[in-house]
Amino acid sequence: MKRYVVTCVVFLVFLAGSWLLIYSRCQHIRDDHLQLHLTTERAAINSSIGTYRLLAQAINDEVIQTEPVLRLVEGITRSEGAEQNILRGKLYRLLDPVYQRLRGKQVRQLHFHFPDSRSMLRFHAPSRSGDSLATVRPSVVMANTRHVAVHGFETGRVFHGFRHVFPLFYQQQPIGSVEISTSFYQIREEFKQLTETEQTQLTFLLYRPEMWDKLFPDLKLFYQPSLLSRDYVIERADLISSICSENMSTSSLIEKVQRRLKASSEIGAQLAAQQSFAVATNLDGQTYTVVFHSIVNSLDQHAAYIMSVTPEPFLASIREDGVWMGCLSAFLLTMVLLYRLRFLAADEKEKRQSLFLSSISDNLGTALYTTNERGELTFVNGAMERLLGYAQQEILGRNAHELFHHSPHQAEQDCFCEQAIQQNRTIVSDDYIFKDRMETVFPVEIICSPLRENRKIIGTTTIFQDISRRREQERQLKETKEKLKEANTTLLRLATHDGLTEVANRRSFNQQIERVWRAALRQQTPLGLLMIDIDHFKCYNDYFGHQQGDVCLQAVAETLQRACQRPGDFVARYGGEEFAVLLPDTDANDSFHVAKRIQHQLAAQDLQNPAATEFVRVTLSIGCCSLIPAPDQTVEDLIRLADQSLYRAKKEGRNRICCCSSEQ
Amino acid sequence: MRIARLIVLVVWCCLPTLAFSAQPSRTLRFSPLPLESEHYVKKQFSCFCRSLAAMTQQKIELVYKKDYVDILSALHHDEIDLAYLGPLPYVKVREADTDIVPLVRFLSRNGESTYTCSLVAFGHNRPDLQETCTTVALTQPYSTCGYLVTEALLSSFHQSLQQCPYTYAGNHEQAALAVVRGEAVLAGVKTAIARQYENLGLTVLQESTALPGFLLVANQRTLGKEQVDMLRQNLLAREPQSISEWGELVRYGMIEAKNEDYDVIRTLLKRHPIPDIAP
Repeated sequence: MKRYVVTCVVFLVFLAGSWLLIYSRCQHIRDDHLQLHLTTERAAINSSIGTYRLLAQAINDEVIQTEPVLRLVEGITRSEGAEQNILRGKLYRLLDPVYQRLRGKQVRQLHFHFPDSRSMLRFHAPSRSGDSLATVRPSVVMANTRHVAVHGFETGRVFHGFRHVFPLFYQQQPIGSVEISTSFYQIREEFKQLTETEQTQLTFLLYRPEMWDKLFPDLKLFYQPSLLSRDYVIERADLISSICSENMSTSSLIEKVQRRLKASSEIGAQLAAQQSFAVATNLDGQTYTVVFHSIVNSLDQHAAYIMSVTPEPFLASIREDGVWMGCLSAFLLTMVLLYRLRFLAADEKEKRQSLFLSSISDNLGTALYTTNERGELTFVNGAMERLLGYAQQEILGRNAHELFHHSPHQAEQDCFCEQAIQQNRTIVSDDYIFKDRMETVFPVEIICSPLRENRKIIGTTTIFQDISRRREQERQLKETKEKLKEANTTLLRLATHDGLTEVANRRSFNQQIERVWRAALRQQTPLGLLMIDIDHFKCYNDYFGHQQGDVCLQAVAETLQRACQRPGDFVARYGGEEFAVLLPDTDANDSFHVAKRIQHQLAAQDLQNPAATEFVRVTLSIGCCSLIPAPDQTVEDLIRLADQSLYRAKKEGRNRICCCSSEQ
Repeated sequence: MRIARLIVLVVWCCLPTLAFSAQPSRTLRFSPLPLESEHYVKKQFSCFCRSLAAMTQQKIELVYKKDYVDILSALHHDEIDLAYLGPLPYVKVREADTDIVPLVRFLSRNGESTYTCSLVAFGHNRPDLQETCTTVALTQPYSTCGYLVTEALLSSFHQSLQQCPYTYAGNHEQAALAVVRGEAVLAGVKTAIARQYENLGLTVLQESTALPGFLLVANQRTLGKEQVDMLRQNLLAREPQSISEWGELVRYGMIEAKNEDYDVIRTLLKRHPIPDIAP
């Protein structure tokens, strides 16, 4: 939930930021454009003013600075009363044709002044003269006192405009001054020609504190406060239409714009600052550039504003572009938001699944870890943490092989993770040894499989378990098995062999004779049997004692085994001092030879038996029998025959071999 | 019964329309004489128009016409409702149309209800009118100070405009300045205007007898007698301070104007018929 809230907050912040960025960018472009507009218009206005300044200079040089004019002016200056009036009339008569032509050239005012700055003759208001301009017209005073030409805007008693005041001299004596002026309206017309646009509308806002007290009282009626600020007035001549209603309302664009801007505190502040500025405003669905050009008087004080209003489709298009960009950014950010929300939902689901799997893997008891293709750990489960003694965060990113894969021959041994990746197969092995945090090594059984993403191997996943106990159990089991085997072997030997002589015992002999009997019966081969008895063994025992008797038995058994070398030959202690030798596939003749060899080898040992009466050494009586078993015969028949032969050998004097015939 | 209901319904629906039409919402058209330039005339009468608008609760349209004849024609043809006229234009329009009724006469700066016209020349050296006839600048044919009174003034010098070449300058100011410029030797203008141009060497040669002053007339056909009477009463009831902002020609007070006040003009007209206007 927190992440959703954060996402939404971030979205809102980004949205607000992008809108702010777009807005500030649009504002920046707009401000640049307005500044350019202001500069261009200012240049056009200055050019217009400059044009009329040149024209004024030309008029002064070519028309005013002539002998008849200067003489008349000088005469007016010198004379008084009716004479002065007549000379003034003559001056009017002389220059009126010029003035009328100048009116055609948009020069509004031709005004002569006395040296003391009183009005001498106004061609635009010829009936008004003699009034002092000293307090209201600094440019006139300046021209008359400093005797230099003065140029600049100035308000007046009747007329406000861009003044060009030239000092007049007659015979090097100052005789007053002349002023050639153009009104704002002429500048406006010139401006329109320069900018070649009829769409721009201009009006003139006069700064009331600068001009109000200068006006002839009866002319104050013809000014009305500006809608923008009471500090500015507009000459009503500019506003008078043929409709006279109570509020003298007009429907001009300028007035509509002023009404629109009236409420703006920004405009009020800018006007109060008395600097040139430009703003944009919307009116009736159209955007306009409104420029206020500050006009200063000849004393460099703010005296008026020229206000221009121009339809500005470019600014409208900027705003439109801004709106579109804002919509687009909102759309894109919304897309990002939706993607992010979807991602969060998927992430939540994945986390739940991951938690679920992690819980499973942690409780699995089997250690599990994953690596990237470089063998660096990317995931370890709890079992692995417990097993290796590392915390997850301290080993993630580390190389598994370097960290805990251990081998006495590690240099030669490749990492099974690398093998799994290189061979693209699952490695299953219990030959690896890991070491834990404490450098304790332990054997592990691992199953390492390549980890795939979109069919590309991105690493490995390995599960392993500590097999130390299993290995110990296996070792113990092996030892036990070996002991058991050894015991069984001993038991078997004890069961089948005589403990004293190490040859087969009677029980084993019985089993063996049954087997070889059946084989001989099946194969119809002769089976020989030697029944052997040590002669006078009782006496030997009595003479040497039982221990020596045992030695004698061992020596006889050893001799028998040595004499019977064939694989099938079988020597057994039949009982007491009696032995039996089975000789498979041996006829009576060969059996006799074997018996003879036994006697010779024993004789070669020369075992002394002082107790024997006939012989001084140990001898053997051997009953020999060999027959091809018949189906009606049994093992007992063979044993009986061999036993009868032994009996006969005993009877015939011992130390001899008696054989039985097949007929017996 | 159903018809009665229908009538009530129709009347009820028409009531707002009737009430609306009863409102004095029509624009009143006022035209002053073009005594001076259009700009100056409009300046002179702008405040007067505002007062009229406040008085009548109607918009006032200031109709500027350059020619006296056009104003008289417009009055006669109900194209304007109110006009500021001189004595001669009033007499002429009254001759043709008795529905044009006088409302008030305006007083001059010194409180007089009459004014004079003057014959003016430039400088000290008066032309010898007994010997030669000179060029004369007149205002307009329908101007009282134009042909009518100038002819009367010239007659005292045994001269007549029938022998002297004369031109119409358009208004008093231009007529006066025509003399200053030397375009004419003489001019017939209002004395008050002639005095304004004394600073240019203009000299009054002869001043007429007192003539009834300029007046405001109303077209009784378009305004109705009640509104004409209301206007007259309201104008006459104005306090001096309430009209102090009006233009120079109308700001010094009013008296009631009567048709017979202008008989002196009618007498002059009989004596000196003006050749340039329709009888």
